[in-house]
Amino acid sequence: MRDLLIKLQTVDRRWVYLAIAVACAIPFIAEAIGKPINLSVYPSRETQGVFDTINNIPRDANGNPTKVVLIDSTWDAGSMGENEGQAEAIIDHLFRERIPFIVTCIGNEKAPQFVNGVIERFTQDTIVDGKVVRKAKYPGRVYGKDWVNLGFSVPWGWQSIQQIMKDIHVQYKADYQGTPLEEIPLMQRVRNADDIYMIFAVTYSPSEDWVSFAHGIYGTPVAFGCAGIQSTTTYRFIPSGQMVGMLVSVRGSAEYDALLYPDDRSQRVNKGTQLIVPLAFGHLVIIFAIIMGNIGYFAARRRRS
Amino acid sequence: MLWQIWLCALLTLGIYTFLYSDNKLYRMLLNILIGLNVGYQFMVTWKSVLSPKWWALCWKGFDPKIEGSWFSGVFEWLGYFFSYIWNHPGAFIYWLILGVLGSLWYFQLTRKYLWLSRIVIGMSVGMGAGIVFKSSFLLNAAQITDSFRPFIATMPSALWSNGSPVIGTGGTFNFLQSLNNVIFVGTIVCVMVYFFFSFSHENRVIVGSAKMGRWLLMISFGAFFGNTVMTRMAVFLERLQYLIRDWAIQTVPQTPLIAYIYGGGVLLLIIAIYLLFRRPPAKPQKPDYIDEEGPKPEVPVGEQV
Repeated sequence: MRDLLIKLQTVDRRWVYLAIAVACAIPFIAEAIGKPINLSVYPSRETQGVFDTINNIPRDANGNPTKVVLIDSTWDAGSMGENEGQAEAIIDHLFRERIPFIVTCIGNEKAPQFVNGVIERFTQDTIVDGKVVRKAKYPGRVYGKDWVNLGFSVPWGWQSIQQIMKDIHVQYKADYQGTPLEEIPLMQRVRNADDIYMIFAVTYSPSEDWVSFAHGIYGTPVAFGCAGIQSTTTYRFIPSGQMVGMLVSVRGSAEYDALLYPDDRSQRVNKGTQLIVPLAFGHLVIIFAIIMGNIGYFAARRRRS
Repeated sequence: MLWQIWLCALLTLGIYTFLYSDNKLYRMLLNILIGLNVGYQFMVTWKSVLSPKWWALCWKGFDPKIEGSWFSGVFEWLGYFFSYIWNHPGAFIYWLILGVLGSLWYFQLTRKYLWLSRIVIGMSVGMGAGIVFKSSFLLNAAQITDSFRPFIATMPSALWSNGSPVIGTGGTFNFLQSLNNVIFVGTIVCVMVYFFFSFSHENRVIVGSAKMGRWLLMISFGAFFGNTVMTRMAVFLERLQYLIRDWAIQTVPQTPLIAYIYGGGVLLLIIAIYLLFRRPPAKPQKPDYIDEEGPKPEVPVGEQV
């Protein structure tokens, strides 16, 4: 028996990979055959902070938001698993509350098309081979009035951020499609930090320069949507009040989706919600592997002693 | 499109063959993806940045109309060229200076003229150092302020995000917030003591604090590791979802039989070409120090030339 336990330390890593793949596949297959596995999601304080800040946007007498939200979306295929759901959740919220937003993609030339894909899923029907496979959630939203994608810009970091906060029309002369900013209705009333209510930077590792140059100088609320691995270094900005909240990995987007649709689970189609159950299954396998490895370690140590 | 989904799925599976062991297919696909990325990046950078912000600012008005033979055309073109520069000296100097400075980066590739690239590196470093000072102050000043917390605190409020001190401001004592503040400040002190090497760690209090600091660091590394696992899992899950839902369940059954026959034929052809033209494995080479006559005798130190 002890030999068997000691061997647990030297299990070929490929068996662990296979176990994780099988465990993660179970929820996807269950969903495909019409028996989805659901787990409860409990929103954390950092996710709630982003949600509340967006809800508290100042509005005029007619109920229209007086400012815009700026989304700096610089994720691409490399961090799609985590950041797509985060961008999706925030854009869903902004469209639902009719809050206009501007998208920038500072420093990543591949990013504009990815965020465009997310926005188009909300505003246009998804058609495959002439058939509508998914209806648009917000078909009435208009480009140039409800949102603008300004696209790629360099340099990455503080230069662009400072210029956007000072005068966005200097940093960007035209939008992603080449339309001059003066011809876009939304951009005619957005000039600098005074017109931006909040900044949501979503990518694998959002630039801390947003915290220093946007919040530090202008006091603009900042929130991040980041990879789990990066969250450990950015949590410190929340208790200090430098950030209003953060969406952490798949968990953050699933939590945000739960906040958006607390009672209606059928409305939760966010990427984070889709991945949170397979993630839990995968984590269970890893926890099991860690426990087994430790049992093997202690068994070997006892034999040596 | 059917073929796009197939291509995407096969590329993903090809990359994942690395999990079994390193192989040529994986390396080939890796190089293809890197090449695609670099090519795309270059084109987008040219279209979005270099062309509108550098090239077009000088040359967008240069449109020579050549009407003679190729011989006279060369002189006509040169005439247009020099007259254009003569009429737009400012734009030409701007183009030339930026072009020359930018090109200096490429001297990194040559050992002989490496020093030229140091001119622009020096400019970048100087600019970066200046801004990092500002950024660090804006980023860390709030962190330092936040680390001053009352040990006997009230409930957090809008003004006091970590609770106000009960002694002095009054208010109701909140145990959990106070405990949180004690842990926070205690962690900072212990970790700083652990990294303070300027005095001897012999005092019992110092040794205990440093040991506690090390344990707290270990806990934070554990949090890092947990978040790293979540990030890697999210990346994998995004691909797994694609493979199961979009490819295996939706696309594979829809693919016509003729496509499988065609695909199988192409695969067999590739394998046949590989087997026909593969190079025989190279003979293992002997290490340099072993001659046909055997290892050389060691020369005494005094007799070495």
